[in-house]
Amino acid sequence: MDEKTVKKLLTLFCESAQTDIKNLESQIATLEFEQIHNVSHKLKAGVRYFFLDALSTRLEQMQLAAKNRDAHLIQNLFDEIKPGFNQVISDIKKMLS
Amino acid sequence: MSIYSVQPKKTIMLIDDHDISLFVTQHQLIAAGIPSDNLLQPSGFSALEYLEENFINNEKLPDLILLDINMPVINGWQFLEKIEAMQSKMVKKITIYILSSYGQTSEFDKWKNRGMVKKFFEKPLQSEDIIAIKNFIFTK
Repeated sequence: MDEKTVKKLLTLFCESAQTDIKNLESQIATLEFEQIHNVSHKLKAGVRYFFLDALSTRLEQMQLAAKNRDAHLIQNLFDEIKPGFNQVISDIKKMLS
Repeated sequence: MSIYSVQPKKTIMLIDDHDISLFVTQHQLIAAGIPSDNLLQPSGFSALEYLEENFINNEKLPDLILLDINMPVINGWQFLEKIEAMQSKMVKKITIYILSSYGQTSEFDKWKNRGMVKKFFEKPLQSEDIIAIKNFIFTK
């Protein structure tokens, strides 16, 4: 991919991830387990393209926790995932600016 | 005479609700020399609508579908059920490859045995997967 396409991809990732994290947070607050599972899966697919293995692992755990309706674990995982994403997005935006 | 034509003879439809996956797959195919005018469908539902509108239009029907599985409303397996029912009405037989974040499952085997699905790729596409797609697209 050329530089322009890569920048477009990174921008797309940031926008998409910010929306999904926001959605995930509200779905966790209302314990919508199926949606938590689906959004985690979507986020995981995205981070895998950027080799963000730690986040990918947490999101996979989140999917399983949602399947098991484990609200406590879901919250603990989210408490790690959200700052992780915030850091990645911040780093990407610095790179793009 | 080479079995590879210079210009691709066949067209691809990408079906995926994940915007990043769609973007990456599309650009992987472009980088591999496969035309950029692939049909992009963000859902199984919109893909079915398109196919139903064009089932007697040989030019508008794709030759190959790269199909995601985990999609809302109509997932990949449900899409295959609908396509199987429509296949006899279509002027062209469409080849389907699965492109999924999940590992290969028994559900894939079921659809492979029914002749609906030919290959399974795990996201993101690897170089051998792209070679397989190129082989399909560029052979007569």
